[in-house]
Amino acid sequence: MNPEGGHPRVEDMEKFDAVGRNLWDFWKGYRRNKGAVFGLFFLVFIVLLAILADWITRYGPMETGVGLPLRPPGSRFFMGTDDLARDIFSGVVYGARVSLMVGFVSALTATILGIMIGSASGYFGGSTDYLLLKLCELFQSVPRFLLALIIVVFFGNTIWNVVVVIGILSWPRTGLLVRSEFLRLKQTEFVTAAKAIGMSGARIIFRQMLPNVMHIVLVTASLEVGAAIITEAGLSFLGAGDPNLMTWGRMLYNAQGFLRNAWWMAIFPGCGIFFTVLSMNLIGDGLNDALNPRLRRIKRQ
Amino acid sequence: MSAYIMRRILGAIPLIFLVLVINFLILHLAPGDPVFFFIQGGAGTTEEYVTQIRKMLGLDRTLGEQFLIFMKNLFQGDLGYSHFYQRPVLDLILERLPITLLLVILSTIFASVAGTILGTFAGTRPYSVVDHVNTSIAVFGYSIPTFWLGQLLIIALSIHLDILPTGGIPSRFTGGVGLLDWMRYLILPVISLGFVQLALAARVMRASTLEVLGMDYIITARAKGLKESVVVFKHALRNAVLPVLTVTSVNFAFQFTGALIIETVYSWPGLGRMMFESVFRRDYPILMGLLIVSSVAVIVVNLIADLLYAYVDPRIVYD
Repeated sequence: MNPEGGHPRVEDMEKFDAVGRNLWDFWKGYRRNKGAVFGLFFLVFIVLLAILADWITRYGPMETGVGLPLRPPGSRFFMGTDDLARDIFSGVVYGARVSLMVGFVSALTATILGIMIGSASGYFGGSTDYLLLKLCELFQSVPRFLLALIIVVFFGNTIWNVVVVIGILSWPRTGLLVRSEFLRLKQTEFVTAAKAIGMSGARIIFRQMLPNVMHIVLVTASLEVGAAIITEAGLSFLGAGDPNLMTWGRMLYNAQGFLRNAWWMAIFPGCGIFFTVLSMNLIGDGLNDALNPRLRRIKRQ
Repeated sequence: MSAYIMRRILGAIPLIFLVLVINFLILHLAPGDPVFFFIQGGAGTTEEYVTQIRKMLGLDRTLGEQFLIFMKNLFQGDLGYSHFYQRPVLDLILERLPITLLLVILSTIFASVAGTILGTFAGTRPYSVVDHVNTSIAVFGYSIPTFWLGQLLIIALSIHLDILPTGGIPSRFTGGVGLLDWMRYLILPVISLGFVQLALAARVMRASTLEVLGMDYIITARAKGLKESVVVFKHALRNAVLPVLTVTSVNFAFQFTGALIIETVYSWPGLGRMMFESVFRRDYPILMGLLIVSSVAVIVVNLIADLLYAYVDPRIVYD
């Protein structure tokens, strides 16, 4: 409601229409990619599982001795039980919470870091660019997983440490992309114009240039979510995950000793990782189709 | 050419030094006392004994001194001494490195060759069945964790079909198995580790084949009346394979750490297990040694890849 009267202003209506039209345009581009639509639906499904975990499971994920150990999938335990007679289904559902949280929060961290470093590097150029590029090279030549493992074990294997470490170690991909786009945009007329009217550097970066690279950042971020989920699962698989949480990687770690007698211990948590990461990758693909203006034009022709 | 190699090696030195400093700081600034892990938190240990151990591990000196000693030893080819194994770190690493490298190299070859072939066929026939298979493999490969793929292959091929060993690898010389039998132990680990890389290589190869096939010199080759197979495999492939080389070398670090995880799945006697145990045991000398070896390996591989470019693409001149 605006203070001048009961009716919304015309400009507001137009703005609202524009947002709606953009969203509709986006969806028209997105839904053309069938895989991406599947990915979106599966992600919604997993998110619902994670939110409703308390209501749809009968046992806690860490609760031992809820039945007989190593029972195959059946009517009572529809994904079976593990060696300590924990319900695999509960583990998979609660594991979704951890994986989604780790995936999205570390991808967000990596993306923000990547945007800040990449845009500074591309916009300022010169020695700033050189130093930041070297930093990037440094991050890419250390074996990242190894470093993540060491840091998490040494600094304490809490879930927040895992999130922070993955986030900090994964920014270079976004950083390099943003940098190269900024280098390109810097040559364009609208940036020269913005500079000519005396806009501040920060304003040009965040208000003028950044909106023009967001489509690339979004696509990379969605791939980064999947990569973070796999990294977290790898850490847990090696026994470096948070000991207070049931995660998919930890369940696979438990399963390693029972591949011969209890295949279900490995199949279900692994499917959790695989389908979640798959949906994120498919969503990334769809975002690329829907947001990439060049690609859209090519397809229309 | 040799001047170029020298310059590349010299250029890598500051990078390696920085990697060393960062690794050293992370290891030594982390909370927790390695002495505690060394004596296994043993009750009833006297203050005197703890001091003695601290001195033996060289932890009684300042951080700067420790780093200088470490660097001095490093230049003499001494990576330190592991008190847990009671052996020099270099020996421990060299003993286990070949089996890990075998896995990394074989899986890289498998992935790039298979990926290149698959990508070429997909790129020459866009939107055909081969192309769809290629796309599915790519999406599949990106999304599957290597260690889970390893477990799946063990369940399906080793346990249910019983056609391949579940893991381990007998020594080539003392294990008493023939070459063919020995190679059976390699198949599953190599496929599990190589699959992600294969997906990536195939996808990159498809895109670059498509691009190269639209270039003028290909049109010329076709106009000359060359056979399609000659055009694709002799003219296009050589150009199109360059990006595959790039992604393979960029992902080498990823393959190396991937190998360490896959070794756990298949209980291979490589660097993997020693590394994970050393992490939990806080065996600083071994961890430093491993970080150095892997960082140097990454830098060397990138250099080799750059030189390979010149071989594949004669237009590239290094000066």
